[in-house]
Amino acid sequence: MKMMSGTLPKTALERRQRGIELMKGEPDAKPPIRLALLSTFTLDALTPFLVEALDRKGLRGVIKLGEFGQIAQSILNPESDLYLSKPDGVIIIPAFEDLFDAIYNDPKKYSEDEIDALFQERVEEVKQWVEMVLERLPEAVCLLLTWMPDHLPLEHILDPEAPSRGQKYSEKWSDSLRQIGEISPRAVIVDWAHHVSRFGIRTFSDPRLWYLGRMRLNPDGLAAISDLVAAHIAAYRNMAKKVAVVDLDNTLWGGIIGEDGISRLVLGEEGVGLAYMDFQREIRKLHDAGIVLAICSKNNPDDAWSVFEEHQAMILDKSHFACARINWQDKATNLREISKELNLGLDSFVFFDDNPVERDWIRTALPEVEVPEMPEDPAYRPRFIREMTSFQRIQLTEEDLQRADSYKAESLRNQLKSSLTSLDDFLASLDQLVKIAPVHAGSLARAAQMCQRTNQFNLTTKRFTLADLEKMSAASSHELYTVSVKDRYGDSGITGLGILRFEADEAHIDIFLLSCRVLGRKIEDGLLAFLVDRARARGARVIYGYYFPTAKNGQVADFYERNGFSNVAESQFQLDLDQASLEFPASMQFEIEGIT
Amino acid sequence: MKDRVKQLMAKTFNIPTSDIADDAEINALASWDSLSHMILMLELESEFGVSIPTEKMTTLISLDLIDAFLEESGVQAGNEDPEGLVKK
Repeated sequence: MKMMSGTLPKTALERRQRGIELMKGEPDAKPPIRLALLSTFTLDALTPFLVEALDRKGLRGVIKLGEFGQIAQSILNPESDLYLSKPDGVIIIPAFEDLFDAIYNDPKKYSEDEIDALFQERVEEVKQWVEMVLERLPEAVCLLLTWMPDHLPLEHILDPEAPSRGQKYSEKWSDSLRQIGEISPRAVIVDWAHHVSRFGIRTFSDPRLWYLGRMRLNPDGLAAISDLVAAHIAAYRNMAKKVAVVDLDNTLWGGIIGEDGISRLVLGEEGVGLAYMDFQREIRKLHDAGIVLAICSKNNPDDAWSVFEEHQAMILDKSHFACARINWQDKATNLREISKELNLGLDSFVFFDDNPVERDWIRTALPEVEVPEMPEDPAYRPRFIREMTSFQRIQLTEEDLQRADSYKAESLRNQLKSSLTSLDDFLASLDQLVKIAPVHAGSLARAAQMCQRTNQFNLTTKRFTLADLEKMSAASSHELYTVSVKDRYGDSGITGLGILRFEADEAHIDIFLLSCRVLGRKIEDGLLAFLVDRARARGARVIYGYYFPTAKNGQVADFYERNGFSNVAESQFQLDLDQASLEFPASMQFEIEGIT
Repeated sequence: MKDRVKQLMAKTFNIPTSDIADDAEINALASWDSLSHMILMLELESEFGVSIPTEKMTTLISLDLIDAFLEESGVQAGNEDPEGLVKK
């Protein structure tokens, strides 16, 4: 079980000790993520810090350090330990000082042309490293760190453009590395240089450690670089939280509406009021990036809504929130209800509340909800939200942008559902249009994201990666289809995936999944009917479906049997294609794209 | 004071306190190597509120020497932190 965030150590040295403790621990059921680390300088001390930082992200890390200073040897030799160990990720940390040590040693010795040439050579070299790692480890992610040197080659020359000063090269170095991220979605840039620019390199280094141990980073630096790497790995694995639940009084505004009244709330263009406005701006940015917003507040609803309607300085309005619980019942009950109404698991929730008692209560009652320790002082909160890693993703997909709206629609649908008695009436009233299309370059990333993220309606829970899907969609043995759903409340975008694998006269359904946003609407029956038709069209005689139970997918245990398949072996279900055919549900329209 | 240093070493090296003899020194203890030594020096600074010069770091290579250094630096046995300034 994950420790509560309130009890995690704060200082770097304590975090190191916790990391060592974690490394000792019994390997639990959680499969590890194995990372190989290549750097131009010694990073032996990093391992416990990185293990600890990954644990905070719910990941069990197993770290393998390369010999420092031997990045090229490890990468170029196809038989090196790096490739034999088949890591899930390779982290490359090239320090500017190490790659340009000749210039550091004698800055005046080289002409500008010579430095330019060396610089180009180095950039090309790093690019080749990344390309080779991606090619030789087709499943792995390659993380490349930008770098902020401890000092410049010749600080006594002030002109920032002077070649011997080296500043322009240091800055161009990070810029050039950032470009390398464009070669593949599996090349992920970790912008350490940018991170350091916020804190200053001196908070992260200690000359004594350099002279005695050739350590370029002190414990604070090791902890910071580990947090940054861990955040990127979590983001790459699509582990971002989906829902932000906010309290109202002293969270969205200063003061208590029920006591102070609207005119005395602290919210406006000046002083602390501006900090509250900025906090709201940050929350709105989450909404705009596809995070679903909800309210959970102990208040009289009329009082609370009056602020949204009447206060001139409110940034957020009612329409930003997919659902709200403004009442006097306990917040754990409210969060459970919100989870149900949105059809989203509590483990995708982050709960913001200024009141430490409420925070502790949620941590105790609902340990799966993330409860950040918001700073006591409102002035520090906008920055706190900006720098949170819980919502981070590497890139935004189209669906991310639509998500918040589509959950709001889901909440409206659920309200409509309770007013209509028969499910079919309800479904018909939605005017659903279900579009099924083969996976193409533009939908590949979303398909991979669903493989990684979908838990509940996922028959096989095979966590195929982008690289896997890329391979399959190019192979004639596989057919990959996405499902997107539109209805009178909005467009849910791509929310389902089915993968057929053909072998002789058999078809196998390797992936069958739907996002929880579109569950309970018979869309699954339509997708299955479609896959069965496809299998028959390709000449298959029999189609097999699989159900592999997990802690979360119990609701689909009988899915195939409900649809006329028979259980022929453990986890395996069969339908003979020369006999049976499945009906498309009548309560919706289907549009099949690109099938010839 | 020696006991408190021992406890700190046990935490730093992640071994039981009982493994640390009164005459413990670097390299005699498997987990006390040059890397963990650096970390131990930082732990001492943070635990006892002292500052250790670089040269000194290279010489504090036994429990006795560390103990003596802390005494020299005015850290008092049994009541190292009368004002509670050092976090536990």
